[in-house]
Amino acid sequence: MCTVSVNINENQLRSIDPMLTDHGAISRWVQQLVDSNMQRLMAERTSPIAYSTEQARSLVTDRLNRLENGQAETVGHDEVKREMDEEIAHMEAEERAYWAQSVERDLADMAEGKTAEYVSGDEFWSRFEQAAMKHYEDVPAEV
Amino acid sequence: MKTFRLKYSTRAVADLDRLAAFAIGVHTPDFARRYVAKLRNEVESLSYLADMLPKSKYRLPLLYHPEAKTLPVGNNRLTVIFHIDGETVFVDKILPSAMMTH
Repeated sequence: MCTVSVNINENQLRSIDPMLTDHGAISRWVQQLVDSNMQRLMAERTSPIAYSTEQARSLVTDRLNRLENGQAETVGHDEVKREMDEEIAHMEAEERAYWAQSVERDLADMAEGKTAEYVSGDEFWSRFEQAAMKHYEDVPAEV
Repeated sequence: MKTFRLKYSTRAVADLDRLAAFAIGVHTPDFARRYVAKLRNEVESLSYLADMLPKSKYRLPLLYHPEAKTLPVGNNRLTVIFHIDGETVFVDKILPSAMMTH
């Protein structure tokens, strides 16, 4: 365990969530954020199909939008955590489905006697980098 | 030590967008480039490692080739399925390692 010190604009925080009125409430709120993030990072590390940073950022963006729209008052931390867990499970299921279908397509091609074609390493890795850069460009700006 | 040249299946190429999204926790364009370069180095180690790796014990790689072998890369998150023919290593597929279950 370690103790850290963080600077928080209390007025701004209370304008987002009026329930955060004292040091204890703010401490618990920060602790929940830390716990939630650690849980997400652990899930990302250990999950059989980890979700990407892009998707994680999307979760954070959605949550911030909800806070800005004043919906935070009606959404408890447990609910947010449950929503995040559900969304992660949904993403993992989508990921599994994609790869299962990809293998099925390959096997169907093989069954039809279609042989694989091969490209050079330079071409493959150049296209991989393009795909990675496209992925980067698709990531929303930092929030 | 025997060295091989590498060829990559278009089946793996078809999955590149998904692989990139799956494999890369992108923070900056430089990070993305470095990650791809690191992954490339790992896969290209097959040019001298391919011969030393055993035939896969999993069923899925053997569906791609009866003598298929595998190499885990990207902190074990991805598995490269390949086979050797003569002086060439053919990379048949790159999949999430979680699919290698039986």
